[in-house]
Amino acid sequence: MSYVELKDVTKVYQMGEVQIKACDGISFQIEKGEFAVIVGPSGAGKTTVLNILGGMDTATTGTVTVDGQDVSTFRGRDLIRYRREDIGFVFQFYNLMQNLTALENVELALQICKNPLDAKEVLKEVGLESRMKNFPAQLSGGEQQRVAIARALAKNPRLLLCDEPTGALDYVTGKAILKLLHDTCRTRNMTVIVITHNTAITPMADRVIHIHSGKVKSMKQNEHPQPIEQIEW
Amino acid sequence: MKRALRKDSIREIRRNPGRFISIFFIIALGAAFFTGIRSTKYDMKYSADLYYNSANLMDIRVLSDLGLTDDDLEALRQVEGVSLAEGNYTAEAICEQSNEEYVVSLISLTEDINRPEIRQGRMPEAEDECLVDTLFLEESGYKIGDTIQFRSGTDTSISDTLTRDAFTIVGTAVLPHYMDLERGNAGIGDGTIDGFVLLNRNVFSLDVYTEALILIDGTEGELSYSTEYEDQSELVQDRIEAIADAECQRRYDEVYAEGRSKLDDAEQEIADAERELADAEQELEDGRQEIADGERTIVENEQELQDARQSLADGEQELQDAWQQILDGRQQIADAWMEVAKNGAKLEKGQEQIDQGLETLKQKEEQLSQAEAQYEAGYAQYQAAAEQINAQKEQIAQAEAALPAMEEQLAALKAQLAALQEQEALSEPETEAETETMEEDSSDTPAEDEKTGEDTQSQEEITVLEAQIAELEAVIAQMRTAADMKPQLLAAEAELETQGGTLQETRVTLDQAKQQIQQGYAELDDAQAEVDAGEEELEAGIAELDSQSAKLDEAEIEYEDGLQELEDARQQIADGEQALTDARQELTDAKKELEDGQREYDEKAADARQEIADAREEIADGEQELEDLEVPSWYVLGRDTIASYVSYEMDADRMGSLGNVFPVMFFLVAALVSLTAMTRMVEEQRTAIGTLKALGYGDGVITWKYLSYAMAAAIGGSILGVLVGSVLIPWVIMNAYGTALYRGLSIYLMPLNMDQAILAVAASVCSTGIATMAAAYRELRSKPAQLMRPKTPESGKRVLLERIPFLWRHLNFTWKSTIRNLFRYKKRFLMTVIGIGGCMALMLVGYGLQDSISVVAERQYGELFLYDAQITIDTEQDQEVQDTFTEYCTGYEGVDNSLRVCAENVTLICGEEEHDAELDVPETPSRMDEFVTFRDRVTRESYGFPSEGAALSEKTADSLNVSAGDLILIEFDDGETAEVQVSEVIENYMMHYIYLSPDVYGQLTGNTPEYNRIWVSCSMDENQRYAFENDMTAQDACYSVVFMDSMADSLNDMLDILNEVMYVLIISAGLLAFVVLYNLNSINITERERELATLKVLGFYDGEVAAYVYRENIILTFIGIAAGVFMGISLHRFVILTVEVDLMMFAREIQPMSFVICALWSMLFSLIMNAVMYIRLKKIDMIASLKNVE
Repeated sequence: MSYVELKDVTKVYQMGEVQIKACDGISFQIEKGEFAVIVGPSGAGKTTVLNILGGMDTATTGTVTVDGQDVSTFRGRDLIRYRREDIGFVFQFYNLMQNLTALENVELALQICKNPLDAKEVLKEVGLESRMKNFPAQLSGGEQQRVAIARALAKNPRLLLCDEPTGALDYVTGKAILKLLHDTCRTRNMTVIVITHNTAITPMADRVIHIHSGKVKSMKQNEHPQPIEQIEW
Repeated sequence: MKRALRKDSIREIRRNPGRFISIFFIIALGAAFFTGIRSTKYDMKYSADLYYNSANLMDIRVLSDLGLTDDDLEALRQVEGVSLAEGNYTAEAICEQSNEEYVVSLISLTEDINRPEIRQGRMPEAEDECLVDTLFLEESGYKIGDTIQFRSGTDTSISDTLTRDAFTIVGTAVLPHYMDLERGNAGIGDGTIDGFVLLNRNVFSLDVYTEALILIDGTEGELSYSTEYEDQSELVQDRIEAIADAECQRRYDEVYAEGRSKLDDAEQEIADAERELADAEQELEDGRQEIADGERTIVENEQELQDARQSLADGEQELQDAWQQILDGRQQIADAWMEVAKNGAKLEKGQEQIDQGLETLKQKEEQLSQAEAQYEAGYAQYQAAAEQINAQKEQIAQAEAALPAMEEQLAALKAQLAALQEQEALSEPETEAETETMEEDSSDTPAEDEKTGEDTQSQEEITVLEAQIAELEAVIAQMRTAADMKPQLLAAEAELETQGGTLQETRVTLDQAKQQIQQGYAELDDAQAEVDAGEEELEAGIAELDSQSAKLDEAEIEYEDGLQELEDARQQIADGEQALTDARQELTDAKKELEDGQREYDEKAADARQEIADAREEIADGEQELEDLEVPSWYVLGRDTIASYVSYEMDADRMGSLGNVFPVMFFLVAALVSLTAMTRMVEEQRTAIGTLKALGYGDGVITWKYLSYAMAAAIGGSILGVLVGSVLIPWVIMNAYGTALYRGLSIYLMPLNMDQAILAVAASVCSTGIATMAAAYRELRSKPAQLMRPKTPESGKRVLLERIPFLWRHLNFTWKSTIRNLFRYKKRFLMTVIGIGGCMALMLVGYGLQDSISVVAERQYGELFLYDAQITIDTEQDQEVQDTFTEYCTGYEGVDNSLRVCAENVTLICGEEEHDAELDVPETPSRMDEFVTFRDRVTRESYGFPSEGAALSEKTADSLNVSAGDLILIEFDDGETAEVQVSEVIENYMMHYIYLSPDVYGQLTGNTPEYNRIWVSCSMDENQRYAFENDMTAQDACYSVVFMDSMADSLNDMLDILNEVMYVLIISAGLLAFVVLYNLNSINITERERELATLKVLGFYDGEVAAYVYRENIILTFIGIAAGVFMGISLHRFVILTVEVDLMMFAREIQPMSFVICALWSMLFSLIMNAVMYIRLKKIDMIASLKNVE
């Protein structure tokens, strides 16, 4: 059994009288330590999948298994505990606590975890050693995203979910962030799932899942992923 | 506005109804409270005006010293501006229900003026029906259908006033001029009128109207209490006063003439009555005299009877004695007879004895003569013997002589003799023996017997001797022989001699016997004589006895007569007694008759005399009155002399002054919060603004979007608020006043006060509108691109606390975040603190006002005024009467302590400021501390009575703007002024007082104070107080008795209503606090939705997320409360000064408990808010809030 496994996951939103099927029977697997990229056009249901996977939302039907846990059955507190202990999130808009410094933002996440990493270490790892005491407003977008990644990593999660982590960043910074994520995956054997609409970055992934209109269009494994430096878009 | 934009606006509201609603309600609350409180004053006046108009409340009332007549009324009607003038009767009376005495004001029913409003039952129809004060009915316990009985309460009869004194209650009513609970003061009973009773006009038997009630023209459109109304009323009042003098003179002349003629009649009547009385008395006097005579006769007769009875008793006694005597007499006679018989027997015996004696004597004589004879014989014998002896002697001698011769003879004789002798000797013993025997038989005769014997013997012997002489001779011879026989002779001689002696003796004896016999004869003669005498006596005795017996018989007859006589006397006495009894009966009857007569007379006479005395007194009074009669004055009184009219206005104005401060503050808080909310909203929408702007919409249109949102909330809210507030709040307040105090007020008029409404709406619209526009303007200044990008969130900043690493390090991140947040959103911080603090302050003001108000009575009458009652003396009375009364009062049972005080109304002047005050001068200032506490309100330091200068009550000092050490001018009653130094400013809540010592008073005025008040401390229960009050008021010198308790009670009653109004404030403030908190929290959450969503995504449990928010809220609440305390204290002080009426000073402090309560309320609201927020926090959609780029 795979580390992460989705089986026939559907998600139906009831918007007034209209039913919107955000996911329509999605199934895929990701192995532990893989750098997976989920791509698809806007509105294909990527984020919904990610939210379900990250415990921010629940599937209408289907099962989601992460490291043997059937996440789709989780509700309420279980779901929060799952988010708290097993998941690290990185958002497009960083979502840092504005009134906490970089270090404090990381520490904020740590204080609710069971086996956190050292906050300063992690920040050092993401290259923010010198900016630790800065408030988010004093950091650039890339730096903020690094703090967000550090905050997610420091929780020592089983899954690192990234929703368009480079969406708000410029090309170079975006690349650097992707590299950071990739490196993290490799060095920490962390399972990283990145959502993006940018198919250009798929070569760097171990596994690429194409989603279209709420369905998995294709899933392929790159035997030899390209380093990010070689990818241009 | 473009359609799409309008849609957007509407959707904006729909999307976040909480925000819209909260802004809407904050504005509504602010507007409601603002208009409500501010309208109350007007609404109260409108309602009262409506009521006054509907009841035709008199505009003017005219009173006259001499009452008013139809002529007066006619004159009044002629005055320009008077539309109606009606005469009205009023009187005071006392009625009793359940042993309680009530003083009521009797008022004649009027139709067109002062119309009573029926609350229960119906209007009286018959003359014996009445309407009763609704309030009085409740208080007294009378019921509709009960009969109410009146008495005058004075020494005159109620019939002077009314044609009847009992009435059936057919309904209850209220009167427009008795709108509140006070019914005024009375001159009877306990001095307070408890209620009014409306009677048919016909039942009043008064000659003149008590008052004239007047309605005036030209006030139809004018509101009571308005200046226009007052001007109009005063105008007419002036006109009435202008005609007053002439009318009064006319009235005076009338009354004087009438009085004079009445007095004359009365005097005539008195004279008649007195004559009648005198006649009756004369009659009684005659009767009394007769009875006295009768009594005397009876007494005399009784004496006579008594005497008769006495003599009867004496007679009886005498008869008794007589009878006894008769009995004794008879006994004596019987005894005498017995004696006579005895004496007869004795006499018989005596006679017998005498006879016997005679016999014996005869025998004895015989014997004696025998014995004599014997003796004679004896003697002769003796003689013979002697001669014999002599002869013998001679013989002897002879013999002897012849002895020798003879001796022989003798011897011969002797021999003879001897022989004789032997013979003799032989015979002798025989004789002797014979004699002896004789002697034994009869003692007087032995000798004789012997002699006799011897004689016989001798004779024989002589013979013998003779015979024997020879022999003798022989014997002599013998003798001689026996010569020695001579001695025997001698012895014989001696014996003879002895015999002679014996004879002698016998002789004597015989003589004696003879004598004895003689004697016996004599005795017997005597005895015989005696016996004869005795017999004679006996005869006489018997005769006597017979006569005695006869006499006794006579006595017996007499006794019988006496008995008869006594019987007759007894009969006579009985008859006399009967006659006496009859006479007595007659007398008793007569007396009874007299008594009845007397009683009748007494009763009638007492009445008559009383009547006469009264009449006389009346006449005297009348005379005096007539003399004192002055040209009457008219008292033209407007509505401003009606107590309830004025107090109502004061209450309305108080609400008005409350409206000047409190709602403004309230409104400010509301505006501030709604303004914050709108600003926040605009700021939140910067992306949308940017988008619109980028799309090419003009600033105006964009602004309009938000402005319309704000306007919708502001206009809608304020209109709703105005509509609800201007009805609800005045209603609640009027209802509070109406149910508790102004019971007459039944219809509450709550028109929309357009000025207040417009003010509220405009203020709401402006404040939110301007705030919205300002916020929009600020945003619109930015470039669209800037706006489109998410607004850089307020960056975190280091706070001061971080500079203290020691503390900072010990805080965890949530705390750090919280603290940074507090300082990060400065505006929100400020708004929250002001919002919560403002509500806290408002609540605190509400509670604080309650505190300030509710302690007034307790402070004033419990802590400051220590005396229990204040008695005012009528100084018009003579000093003597006053002094007597003072003594009576202070010595009354239950009065523990008392102090005389001179009270005077003065005006105090300091510079420009003037103030009326009561000047109190205690008789003994040293005892003042037992009656009034002088102390500083703040420090509680107590003062002694100032020996120099004056003590001034605090509020008075404030009004005059003076403090201790300043000089003030006192203007006394008589217009004199004097300057005095204020030496103490003392705590005081009710009225204005200035205290001077008698010395200072004397120095200032040159007069001695006239003590016209008595303060007493007493220990009495309810009933004793009532009795005390009654007893005091009954005294001429007593003007009034006021118990401090009742003052405190009525003060409390009045202030209680203010308290109720305070609840309106408190509840409104509470509501506001609630909405403000909701709004601020709501803003807080919306503003930080992303942050909270992030926390949630990070895996913070709901509780942890909530705690993150709450921590801030709680801290903000605490800070707000702290701020509220300070704001509240100063606002309270400000409101107090505004609300306070001139006569009263409210306590300046808020009780600690009120702080606690308000803080607890604030916290409770905060907690409730947090609970509500928890639900919202839980509902935060992480995905949506994180995905949205703003």
